[in-house]
Amino acid sequence: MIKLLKIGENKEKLPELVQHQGDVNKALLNVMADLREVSVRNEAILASIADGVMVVDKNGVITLANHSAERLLGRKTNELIGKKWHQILEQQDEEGQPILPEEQAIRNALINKAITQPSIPDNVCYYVRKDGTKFPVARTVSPIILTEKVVGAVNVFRDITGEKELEMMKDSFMDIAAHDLRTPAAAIRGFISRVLDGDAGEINKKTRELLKGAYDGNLHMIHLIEDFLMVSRLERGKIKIKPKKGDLGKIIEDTVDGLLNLVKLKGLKLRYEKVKLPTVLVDEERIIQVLNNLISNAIKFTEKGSVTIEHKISKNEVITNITDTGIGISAKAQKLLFQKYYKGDQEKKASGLGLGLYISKLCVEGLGGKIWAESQEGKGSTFSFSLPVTK
Amino acid sequence: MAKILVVDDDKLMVKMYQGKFEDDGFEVGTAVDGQTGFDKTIEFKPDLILLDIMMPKVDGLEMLKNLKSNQATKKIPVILLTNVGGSDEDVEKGLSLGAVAYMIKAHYDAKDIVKKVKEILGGYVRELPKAEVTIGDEKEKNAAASKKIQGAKEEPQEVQEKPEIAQEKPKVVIEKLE
Repeated sequence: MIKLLKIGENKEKLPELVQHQGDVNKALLNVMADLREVSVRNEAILASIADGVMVVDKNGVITLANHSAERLLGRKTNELIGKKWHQILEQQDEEGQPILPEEQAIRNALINKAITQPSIPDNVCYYVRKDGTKFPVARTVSPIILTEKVVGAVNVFRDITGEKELEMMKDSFMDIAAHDLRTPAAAIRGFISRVLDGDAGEINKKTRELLKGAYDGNLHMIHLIEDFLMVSRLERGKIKIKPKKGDLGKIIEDTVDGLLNLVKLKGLKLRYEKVKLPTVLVDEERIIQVLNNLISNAIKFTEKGSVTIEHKISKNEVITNITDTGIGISAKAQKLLFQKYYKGDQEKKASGLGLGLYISKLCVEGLGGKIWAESQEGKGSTFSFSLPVTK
Repeated sequence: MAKILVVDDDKLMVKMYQGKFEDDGFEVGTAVDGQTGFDKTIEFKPDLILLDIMMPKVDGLEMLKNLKSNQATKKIPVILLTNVGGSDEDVEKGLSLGAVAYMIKAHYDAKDIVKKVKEILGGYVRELPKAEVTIGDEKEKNAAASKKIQGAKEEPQEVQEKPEIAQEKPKVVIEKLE
């Protein structure tokens, strides 16, 4: 409260003013002390955040970098403050290729008001330290918005070397496990197949029968290893499901062709009611896998009758139904069918790890579709999957 | 007599393949790692190499790189015959390094390998550069489906040496006279 008075006019009021001024000064000093305390506390908070925190203004100039940012980047604060962020935050991708400033998250925040979330394990980016070494980061970048305008951006980042190593260990574990299991299986397959082919001389029927048993058992194990590897890769995102425009009808036709022998052996009928289909997005290899899984399951669990494949078409999706006249599935089992490792009612009889339907589910859902089943015990089952129609 | 070099540190498998190929009339050389494998290639001059990947000292992919960057060896077709990997990425990588095929040992009977080798030596274009993920009966189903569907597509890479393919016909240019 500043009262402007001509000093000359009211000499008597001067002591009052001085007193008043003193009060104002004291109040000001108190406020400044409070602010300083808040500031110190904030700095303490910032300093204790284990993640790196970096703030830039609307021109991309670094205005704040906490202690962890210093430590992670190998630079002192005075080397950071006042610099443009892209002079400091050198980024690289997995292969060591530099990521251009245009593609970086801070730019996205400042210009497009976009928030960038960390994306692990794919597309991990690396920050380069002052000494040239790099480390993988998970960073969240957000724009700082005041009265609807972007006034800066804040980047909170952390070193995920530990997490990446764990990921890599998981990766290599599965691949090593697959290799180690395949090795003896390959040996068994190689040697037995040679005897069955007559390389050791002619063999009698009994010998053939016994050896074929061993050969088939081994083959079964090889299938299991592949299923395991497939699930591991799908779950790790190592197999990218690539949806492309495709001819679902033709794919089904060809898959059915390949299964005709199997069907003949069991004395069943296999029929595909082909119709003209709208274009759908498929990943051929994955769809073939799904079809083989569903159709061969249908054949496996049907002793007499038929397996029929037909479609239901709607504006947005194409549904493929695979219906068999087999033993059916209990209501209890139906709920658990597509789960990992679930083998169904025929627990003992059913071979495999129970991964086939789980893999099919991952594949179909990866293409934007759904998979489900309906069944009546003793009458048969219908397995269905949908695929979205594409423009 | 065609010569095959089998490079693999698994002595059991080497013995198995060697026996099979010799029975079939091939001459077989062997090596246990990428270093001796390369040296043996120079010395033995095989018509085709069956190359494992996981080996000590110098692994299969290293040896493949060496083979393909050496005048004397770069034209020999190489089949990666391994139990590691097999994903689309692995296959693409192997093929891009110059292999003509990528086969998972556990997915084939001995006679299937011989068949493949004969196909390649006979100058057939190799099959689609995709990993054959399924095996046994299903391999046939899937391969049949795959082949039919993709038969019409262009085959991006071909065997590097095709001894029996006819020479390119000379182009005849007819110039219009003004």
